[in-house]
Amino acid sequence: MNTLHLQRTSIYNSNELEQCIDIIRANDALVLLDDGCYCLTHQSLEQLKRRTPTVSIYVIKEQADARAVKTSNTWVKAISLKQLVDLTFEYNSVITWQ
Amino acid sequence: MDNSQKLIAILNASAPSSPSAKDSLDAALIYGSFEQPISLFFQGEGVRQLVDNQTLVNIHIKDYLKTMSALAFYDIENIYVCEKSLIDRGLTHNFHIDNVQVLTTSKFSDALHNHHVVLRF
Repeated sequence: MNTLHLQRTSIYNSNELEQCIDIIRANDALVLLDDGCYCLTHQSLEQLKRRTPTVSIYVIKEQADARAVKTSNTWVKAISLKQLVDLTFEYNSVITWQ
Repeated sequence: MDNSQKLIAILNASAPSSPSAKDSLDAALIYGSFEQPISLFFQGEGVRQLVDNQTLVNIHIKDYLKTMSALAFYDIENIYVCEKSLIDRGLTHNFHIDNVQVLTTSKFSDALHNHHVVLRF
C-alpha cells in the first residue's frame, strides 16, 4: 500500500520531516504545506531524493509563494490545494506530520 | 471496503508531558471499546511514554501512563516501537507494559504501511 505524507511543520523548528523520511517508501509521495514549505530549502529533502528517487515531492504553490520560499530543484512539483485533494484519492492512506 | 475491515494505526510521537500523548491513548481505548482493529506505533519522543518508573504526578500531570496496562483488556495487542528512536535517546527495552514489539525502521515502516488509516498524535 502507498501513503501520502503531508508535512506541515518546518524542519528548522521540529523533526517531523526526519521521522517522515525514516519511514517513507518508494511508492509514497510527500507534500509540503503550511510551514512545511520551509523544508523546501533543507538538505534532508535532497538526501531523500537521492536515496529514494521514485518518491514524488510536491509543494503547495500559493503557500510557498506566501512565504517567499523558492527552490531550483526541478523534481519538486508545485501544485494547488485542489490538486492536493485529487492526490488524496490516489493513495491508500494519508499521514499528517504536524 | 467497509469500515469494519479497515486497520487503524495510531502513530504516537509526543513526549509524555504533552496533552496529545494522553489524547492518543484515549483514542486507542475508544476504538478498542468499539472493537475496531487498532495498532499503536511509537516513534520519536513518543517512545518515552513506554519508559518504566516515571512519576508524572510529581510534575502535576495525571499519571495516565498506568492506563496503558488496560490496552490488553481492549484487545489492543499490536504495539510497535521504533528501535532507532530508542537508540537515539539511549533508552533500553525496559518498558512498563508487556507485549511491546521493537522494530527496525524498515519493519516499522512495513507495519505502518499495512494500515488503512493512520492518525498521528
